Amino acid sequence: MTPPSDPSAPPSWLEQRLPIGRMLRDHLIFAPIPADFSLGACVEPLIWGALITLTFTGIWLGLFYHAAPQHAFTSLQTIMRAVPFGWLIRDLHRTGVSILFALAYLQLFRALRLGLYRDGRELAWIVSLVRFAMFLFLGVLGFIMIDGAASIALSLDLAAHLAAIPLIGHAIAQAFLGAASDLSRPDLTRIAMAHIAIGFLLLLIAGLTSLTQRLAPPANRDGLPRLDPRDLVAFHPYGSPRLFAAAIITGLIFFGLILAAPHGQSSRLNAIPAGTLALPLHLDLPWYLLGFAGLAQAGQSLGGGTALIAVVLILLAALPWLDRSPAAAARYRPWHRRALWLLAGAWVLLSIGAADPRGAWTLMIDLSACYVIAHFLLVTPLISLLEAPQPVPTRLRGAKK
Amino acid sequence: MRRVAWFFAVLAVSPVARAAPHFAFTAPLGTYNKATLQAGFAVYQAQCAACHTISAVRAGALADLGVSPAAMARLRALRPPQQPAAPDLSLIATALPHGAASIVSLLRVHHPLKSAVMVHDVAEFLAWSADPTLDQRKSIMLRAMIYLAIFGLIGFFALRQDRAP
Repeated sequence: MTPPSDPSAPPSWLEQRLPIGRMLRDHLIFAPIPADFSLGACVEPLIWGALITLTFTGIWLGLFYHAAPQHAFTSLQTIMRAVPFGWLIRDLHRTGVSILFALAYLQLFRALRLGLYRDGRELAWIVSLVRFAMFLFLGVLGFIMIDGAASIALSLDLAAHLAAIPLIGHAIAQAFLGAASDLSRPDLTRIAMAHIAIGFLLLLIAGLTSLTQRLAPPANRDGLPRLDPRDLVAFHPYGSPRLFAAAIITGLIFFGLILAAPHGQSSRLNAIPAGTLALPLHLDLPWYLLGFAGLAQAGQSLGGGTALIAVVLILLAALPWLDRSPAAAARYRPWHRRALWLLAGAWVLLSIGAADPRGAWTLMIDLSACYVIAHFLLVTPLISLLEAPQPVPTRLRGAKK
Repeated sequence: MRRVAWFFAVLAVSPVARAAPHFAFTAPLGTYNKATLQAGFAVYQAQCAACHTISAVRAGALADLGVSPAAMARLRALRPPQQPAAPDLSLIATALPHGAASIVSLLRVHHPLKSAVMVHDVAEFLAWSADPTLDQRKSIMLRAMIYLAIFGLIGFFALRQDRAP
């Protein structure tokens, strides 16, 4: 392996004009990483892996997808049955979405645990939240593109929620969903176009996320705002075996899911083509949208639900200014750590409840939504002001030399 | 008599009865049984095809199953000329909560076919028509996972070798 910079070797023709090899070495292969580089730190590069998989399979699917009512559902069946390896491309795309969201939720929770939203990382955090919101929106659009009975239910529900936004809501619903805002079939041409266009825009935002994260202080498990130079090591060979192992494990889970449960992430109702006679009585959503569906239900009304989702996303973005504690990482803040686990539990309960909101679960949804809001608005600021954190070391504690 | 019928109806839709029919392809690495699929196609053609289409299924896929061109011509002749009132069955196994087992329980309750074997075979055939690439998917994904695991082990230790002792 060549050292990071070898001044004696003459650069090649291309290297003189475009120093891509040097950039790869300085910013990727031998990039400085904290010495406590853990499996959790691999989530961010793995999100890139999932995005690249989704982009390429998505381009391939787009070649065969026919974005028109009556035809979209049939064209997906053609992809599954008549296009060579079309079933594989579609399974990679729809199961890849689940992998992406699992990684995105893990990344969010890790950022909350390690305090990766503060101490110079505010911009990187907000850009990563924009990226997450785009994941959600693209997930919704892709689900509607299946054009099954569950798709049309979601598009009608989304149109109603968007139209409840004052002043601009109806125009937004018209622009993205077309006729769906008038309680009829969604305009699949617009939805497919939005899915593709925003999908490519997402790559730009993901690039911006990586750039801001690279310029921000390195993320470390002690939440230190700046690292001692002795705590930084080269990515290769100190981080690369771990990232490689994480990628292989993710790939094995990915392929295992395709092998065992390719339909697992989608609604069974989407095996029925969308039609005016096939309107399901309740939303049947993929798992990654359930938490937000729970928030929408806890809002008690269409406008309230939209507002609640917006409030949670805005509160997440405001987290750097709500958290006033001198220590960043939850490992030095026992009560903050407990509150974070409570937040994760509330989110899981919200998701379970939203999957089948009946009986006592409606109360559970309301209570969980209350805690999610209160966690950011009250619990985090209060604990951060009242709790005296344990002493934070000046150098990395968990460094593996 | 009605009480006995109710008993059987409840038994048929109970989880115990749902688990009863054996479908090898529902196991993680199980595959379809080609003889069962052929028998299932015959049952479908004789009992269901007059009203229910399986429009998503390709003629080529049926030919691979061993359906003769003459049988396919008969199937096309059976199709009602107008839009059929009965639902299309191509994806019914995906739409039902327990797949082929749900088809078995539905057929037992609503449309008592003469033999349990016929019910079982047509259920497996409808599961195949909803997911004809299951065999191919499982074999390709299993090989991909084995490859990935071996590649992962070799790559992991190769990368670690560059670490200073």
